[in-house]
Order: sequence, then C-alpha cells, then structure tokens
Amino acid sequence: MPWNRRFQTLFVCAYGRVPAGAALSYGLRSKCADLAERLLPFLHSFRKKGNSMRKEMFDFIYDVRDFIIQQARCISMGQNDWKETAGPQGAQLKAGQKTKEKPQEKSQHKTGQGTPRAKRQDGKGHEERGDYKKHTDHESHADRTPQRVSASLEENEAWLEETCGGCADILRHPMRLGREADVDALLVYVEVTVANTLLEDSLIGRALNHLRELPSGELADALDGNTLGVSDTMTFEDMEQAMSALLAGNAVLFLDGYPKAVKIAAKGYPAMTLQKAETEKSLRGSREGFSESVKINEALIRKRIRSTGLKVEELTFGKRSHTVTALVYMEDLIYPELLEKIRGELGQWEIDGILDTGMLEQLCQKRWMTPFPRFETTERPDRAAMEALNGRVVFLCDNSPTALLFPTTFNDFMQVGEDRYNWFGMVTFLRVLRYLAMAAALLISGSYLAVTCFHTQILPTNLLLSFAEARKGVPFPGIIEILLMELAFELIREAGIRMPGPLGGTIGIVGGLIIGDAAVSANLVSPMAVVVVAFSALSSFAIPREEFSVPFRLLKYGFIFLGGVLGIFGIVLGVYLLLGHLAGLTSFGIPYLMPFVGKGLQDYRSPGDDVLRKPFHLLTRRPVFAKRTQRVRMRRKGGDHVRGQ
Amino acid sequence: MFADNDRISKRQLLRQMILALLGAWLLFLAGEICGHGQNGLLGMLLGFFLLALWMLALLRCAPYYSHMEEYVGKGGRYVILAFYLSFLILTGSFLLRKISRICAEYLVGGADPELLALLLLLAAGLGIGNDIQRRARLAEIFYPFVMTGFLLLLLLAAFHMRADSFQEPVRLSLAKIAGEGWRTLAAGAVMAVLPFLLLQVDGEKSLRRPLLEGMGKLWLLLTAAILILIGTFGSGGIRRMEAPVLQLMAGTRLPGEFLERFDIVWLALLLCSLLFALGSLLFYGNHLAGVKGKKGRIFRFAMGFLIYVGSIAGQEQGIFAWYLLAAEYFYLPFFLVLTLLLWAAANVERLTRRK
Repeated sequence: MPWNRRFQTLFVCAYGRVPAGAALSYGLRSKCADLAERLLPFLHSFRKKGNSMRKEMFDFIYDVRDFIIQQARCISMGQNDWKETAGPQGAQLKAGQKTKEKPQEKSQHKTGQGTPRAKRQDGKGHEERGDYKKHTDHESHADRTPQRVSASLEENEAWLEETCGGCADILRHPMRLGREADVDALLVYVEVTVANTLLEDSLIGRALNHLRELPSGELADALDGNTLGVSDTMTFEDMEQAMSALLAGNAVLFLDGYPKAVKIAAKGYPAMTLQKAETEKSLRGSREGFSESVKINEALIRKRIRSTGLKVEELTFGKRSHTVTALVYMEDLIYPELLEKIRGELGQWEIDGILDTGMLEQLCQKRWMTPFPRFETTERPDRAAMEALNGRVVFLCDNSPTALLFPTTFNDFMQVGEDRYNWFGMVTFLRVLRYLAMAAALLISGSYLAVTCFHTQILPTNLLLSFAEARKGVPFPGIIEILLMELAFELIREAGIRMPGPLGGTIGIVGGLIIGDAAVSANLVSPMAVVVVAFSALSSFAIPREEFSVPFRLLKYGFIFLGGVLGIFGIVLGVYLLLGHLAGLTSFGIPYLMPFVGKGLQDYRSPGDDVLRKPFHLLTRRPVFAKRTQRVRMRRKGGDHVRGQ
Repeated sequence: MFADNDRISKRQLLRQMILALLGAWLLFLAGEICGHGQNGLLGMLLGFFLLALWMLALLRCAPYYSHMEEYVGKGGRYVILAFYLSFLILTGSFLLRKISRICAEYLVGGADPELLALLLLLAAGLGIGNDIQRRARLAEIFYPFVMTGFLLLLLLAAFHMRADSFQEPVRLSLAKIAGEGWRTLAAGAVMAVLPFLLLQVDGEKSLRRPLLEGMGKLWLLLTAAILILIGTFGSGGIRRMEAPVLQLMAGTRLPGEFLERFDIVWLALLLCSLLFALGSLLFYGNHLAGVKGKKGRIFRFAMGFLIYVGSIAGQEQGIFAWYLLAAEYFYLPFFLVLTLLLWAAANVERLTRRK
C-alpha cells in the first residue's frame, strides 16, 4: 500500500470514520500499528525543529498506536474478535477524554459540532457501525450484538426464526415436557446430526424421556444440575453460543421459563470413519489413517502418546465456516516461538472459510513464489505422533484427513513413515535410491538433451550411432520431442488421476503402451526419448511425498530448456540457481537444507538420520526441531557400561 | 532458532573460502606456477606462508576494520570503500571474462562469450543472494561435490604422470622465488575483504585454526595439481598452454572407459566453483557497502553491470592485459599498508587509553 494511502487509512481509522473492528483486517491493523510506530520518530524530529505541529495530533497518534497494539495483542493471543471493551469506541473514548482537556475541542463539544469521536460518544457511532454492516461482505453471526437467551420461549423462537429462516436443514422440534406435559420446549438441531429423538438408545432420547417423567417445577433444577447424567452437556446464556453449539452438530434445547439453552451432545455431522492412508502406503506399521474429523484425529495421536505433555490447542478459523483446527505438540520439546509464529501468520488473515489444511498451508507461506513446500503433510497418525516426539508441531483441520507438520526440511520429504521400523541398511539403501531418483527426475531429460545436442563426445561411438539411428526420421528437434513426450506423460497422469475408479489404470495402459508405441512407429518420437521420459517419470514417482515431487516435475521443464539450449553449461547454471534458492529457504526459522548444512553449527549434532541412517539404537538424538535442551531422545538404562550386553 | 542469528559457523567459513578460491587458483595460478618449475613451487610455498601471516593479521585487525571510521574518519572510510569496491569489480570483470571465454570454447561451442558472460553473472548473483547464511549454506552443499570431483580428477590424472618430466635440472633463483611468492600473494589479495565477514562467524576469537586449515588445504591441492601437471606435461609443455588444468581434464579418463570423454564433468565442477567465486564478489560488494533490501538489489545490479562492462570492454586482451599488474602493484600493497596502518592506529589508541 502506498504511504499516502497508509496515512489516510490510519487517520480514517483513528477518527472513527470507519469502525476499525469491522473495516480493517488484522493485516491492515498491524500495518497501521507499524505505521504509527514509524511515524512517531518523524513527528518528534518535526516538533523538535520548531514546526507548528498540533499537539493534539501527537496525542491522538499515541492513542491510536496504543489502541492498535492492544488489539494486535488480543488477536495474537487467540482472541480473534475485535473486543468491544477495547474496540474503536473504547479507543475513541480514551482519545476523546484526553482531547476534552484541550480548549479547542472543548468548544467544539459545546457547540455540538464535534469530531466523529464526539458523535460516537453521542451514540451515533453505533449507527455508523450498523450502516457499515449492511454493506460489508463479512457480516456473520459473530458480528451481531450478543443476544441473551430469554426466559420466554416465544422470544427465543422469534430469534431463531429470524436467524435460521431459510435454513431448511435446521429443524425446530416443539414438544411438551414434564410429568403433566405442561412445559413448552423446543429442540433445535441440524438435520442428520441428531439420532432419532424418541429412541431409548440415543442420548437425546433418554434425556428427553427423563425430562418427561419429572414434575414441571423440577425441570430447571434438573437441567442446571445435569441430573440427566449426560456426559457432554452444557448450558448457555447467550444465543450466539447456543447457535455455535448447534452448528457444531449438537442438539440445543430451549425450555419455557428457563433463561438458558441446553446443549446436548448428538452424533454430529456425518464423516468418513477411519480408513487406510491412501497416499502413504507402507508395508510395515500401523494401517490407520486420519479421518475427516479433527476430534477423531486428535484422539488418534493421543492414543499413541498418552502423556499430558502432548498439548492440543484448538483454534477456530473462517468467519463463516468456523472451522476447528488444532495445533498438536509436545510442550516441553518445541520452541515456543514456533507457535507464536504460526499464530501470527494465521492471525494476519480473515477468511470466509477454511476447508482443508492446504488453504492454511498457503496462507502461512511468506515466500509464496517458491515451489518447494515448507509444510509436510501426512495422513498417518503414527507418523504425526512420531514427529510430535521429534519436536515438530502437527496441525489438524476439521474435514481434512491430512495433517500438516512443521517446521520441515528437504530431508524430511525424502523419508517415509516406516523408515523407523526397518533395518537401517535397507533404509539407507532405499534413501540413497530415492535421492538418485530425485536427481534423475529433475535432470535426466535435460542432461539427455545436453549430451545429444552439445556434448556428443562424451558418448562412446557405438552408443552415439545407435542414438542417431533411433532418431532417424523424427521430424522434430530433440528439445521439442522431449517436451512433447513430457507433456503427453503429464496429460496421461492427470487423466488417470481424475478418471473414476478402474478407468484411471486403463488410461495409463492406453496412454503409456498404445499411444507411446504408436508415436514411435509413426516416427513422431524416437524410442530413446520414450525411454528417457519414462525413466524420468518413474523417478518422480519414487519421491515419497506427492507435494514434494511437484517442484521437481515443474523444474524439470526449466532444465529441459537449459539443457536443450545451453547444454551442460545451462544445466550447471540451473543447478547452481536451484541450490542457491534452496539454501535461502527456511521453514519457521530452520534452514530448509538441514541437516546437510548443520554440521558445525552451535550446539548442533546430527541425529544420524539423513541420507544414511544409523542403526536404531544409535538414533539417540532428536532432530533440529526440538529444543536444544531436549535433544536426547533415547538412552540406555544404567548408563553406557551396559552397552553391548 | 538456527536461521535467525545472521551468523555462520567456522566450518562454513572454511568451506566457502576453499570453494571460492580453489577453482580460480587452479585455473589461473597453477598454470603460472607450473611454468616456473621448482622456483614456482617454492615461490608458491612462500606466497602461501605470507598469505597465512596476512590472514592472521587480518583476523587480529578485524574489529578495527569494522570500526574503521574511528581511525580514518568518514571520508577516509568512503575512500577505502571505493578502493575495495573497485578491486572487487575489476576482479569480477577479470574472472567473468576468463570464465565466459572458457565456456564459449569448451562448453557451448560457437556461443557468443558476451552473452554467456551475462548469463553467468545473472546466475552467480541470483544464486548466492545477499544473505550471509545463504551463501554459507550454498558453500556447504557444493563443497563435497566439488572437492570429491577434484580429488578424483587428481587421482585419475596421477596415473598419466611420467617420471622423466621431473628430470629438470635444479636452477633455483631467489628473485624468481620472490616474484612467484608475490604473485601468489596477489592472487590472494581478495582475502582483504575477510575481516568484514569474520565478526559474523561463531566464535570469532578462535578462527585462527579454520583459516590456517583452509590455507593448508588449498596449498596441498594446488601443490598436488602442479606436481601432476608438471609430471604429465612437463614444465616446458605447460608454458605453451593457456589453461593447463583444462588440458589435464581433457586427458583424464574414467577407468573402464564406458564414457568416451569425461572432461565435461570436471569442467562442470570447475564452473560451480567459479560461479561461487563470482557470486562471492557480488556478495562482498553488497556486504561492504552495507545496503540491504531494495537498495541492496539496486546496488548489486549496478555492481553487476559494472563487472559486465569491465569484462566485455577492450579488444582481444581486454582486462587481461592489465588486471594482474594492477592487483600485484597497486591493490595488494594498498591492502597490506591498510592492515598495517589500522593495526598501528589501534595499538596507539590502546596505549593512549592505558596512559
């Protein structure tokens, strides 16, 4: 934003023309705070030089700065809403009180031609806010004036009618409770989330049946004291909270004459049950995969780490979706700065809805131009638990079976969950193979072009002749031939993924075998090009994480261009640029190329789990993610003297 | 957290020093030294000894360099900065012209060297960036590949040596030894920028060992390369070659000979080292000027532009004709005198304070 615009925003915000809570995003607010911080030294120097800057302007900017900083703190502490007590009115009042002492403004107050601040004191500020809300796109239930639950069922019903009108899936079930059936009640719930209300085996059914047997006068006491014996029940005095509970998949009961709403846990929204991890298949280890419910996913991790050191911090995102997310971590292992950073990153945004962890991931990436992911994903609770024990943070999101792991490094993407469960020699061999495959996926097509177009002297004469023989009759230059084949392969891959069920495999066979063979027979491409592209594709599949194979698949085209146009010279330039880029990347303060660049750093010892993996009993240290004081993961009981027994 | 402190480790310092110097010294210095036989070898030994002493002096004077303004004033600092920057730009131009010519001849036959120079400069600058830690990590990653490649090259090339190449009569000349020593020292004149970096290395008070280790390793590698070059081509043959290391690469084959020629791979590794050296010059220019962010990028662009202009200016020889002379007889004495003056000024100040 240009400076003049920022300045304007600050003053608009400050003078209350726009209610800050509604109009300014967190990012803008923090920018304003930053701007105010930057402005003050300038203003000081300005004043020192004897300029006639109005004193009240200073006081005002101080007030605005304090107000904004206070708000920013509120938000960074997880209170996403713009607090009413410290809201714009609060700030304006504060500023107004100070300025009341100033004679110029006193007169303005007297004459009734006050600043917008004064207007707000008169109560017109609320009107302004109301007007604004009519036009804003971000209106939601959270912005409404808090409405208390009324003792009158009619009033509550009217509120519900107004709020839930047009929501055919929110059912309102009127009933009469009490032994004499003389107390009106209303059960509200989202269709499908609540089981049959009359059945004895449902929680709600039992609760309602119990309420039918009590005398009318005892109903309120029964609900207050939870004599129903329902494990997950809660009373709300605020309609908004009751609505939140309702939309979270619970039933809410309103009783005439009882000024509270009662949440009764129901079966909740339909979700897929536990299933196998599809994208992270393993031969050994747990078969469980994450489900699409954040609560179940939390439980799956807790099942593996039964310690109160494992903290689960729930945050709600999405102004309309109210998606529940959870940060799961071992409190004593992680750097607290990590949590602050992620909260800060997320707190910068106001978004209407979060539907998957992928959206959160992209919001948190500062360097968004890089194709390399800075969050690792996993569908396996055992891996998530293992990483929590390594000092990383697991980020879960409701409705997503994929957890995010951070911080992350290049090396983490080349490891698979079962690496810990297998013999170190085999694991090392497979890791070396994966790294070679990664290099091949990136470089083989470009290098093929470099060698065949520029440096044919590398190849033995026989091989060179067979290459030339194979290319005989192909009308395209090598670079076009390879590009065509690579693009055709990507097409087959994309079609195979999007095709339903068994058709996907068919596409692969049709594309790979029939079209490939036909293209060679028709002299459109040479057999060698098919071999090179197939090898490159196969190598890209050996990269364990799909999100990590993406940058290599994309960058491959750059190397094809460089190799085809500049030969090995181009490849070297490309590799140099790529490594330079990777060297500059960090993930939450951890260099992306750790542990390869970690040796010699202060207080750092390699855990021995990079390309080469040590035997399991020697993996005594945690990776760099864990706190420096918490790096020892394992030690032999009784000390070193028993080693080797 | 690791990436937040804007400091590098001793190991990273060592690696970036070796990586930045190895390629350039192998390409330029090794041929020069080889041409003078035993005198060249002894001269190089003397040069490395002097270089090591100078580096220790620079290490001692590093704090004085960073507070130069206190001793020479603001104007003096600007003048010194201008000298440093002009040296870096000229060195960059020399290096760029040399690399682009080699690439045009050996890697991209028929390509315009000026276009290649532009690409090289862009890659070197963009790859290394303006971040001290990024450069250190890049060195850490490249180092094992480049070193393994060079060691393998030397090992394989050693089999081509002939005993009769060493049967040259011993004709030692003190003047020649001193001359080669001074030339070696001039090749290391770029070390003058080291004190500006040393304060950002972890444990800056115990850097003597990594610096000496770096010098020792470079001397060993160069000596081995020179011995192999003399053993393979003989001193007389080397005098007629422009870059004997490239000829050595061209003649070295892999066992089994499943590839016809492997010199492209050696050349690629050499190019990595040279790119790092070129990028380092841009990095140091920025570091010395102390500009960051958008201004830093503009500064680097301007410096890169000057390096490029310097590399393409002139006819056949261009900057080759006078750069080495300027480095030997102008910049090196200037840097040495500056070290002495700063050291003396700091000592005088210390004594005055004691009194």
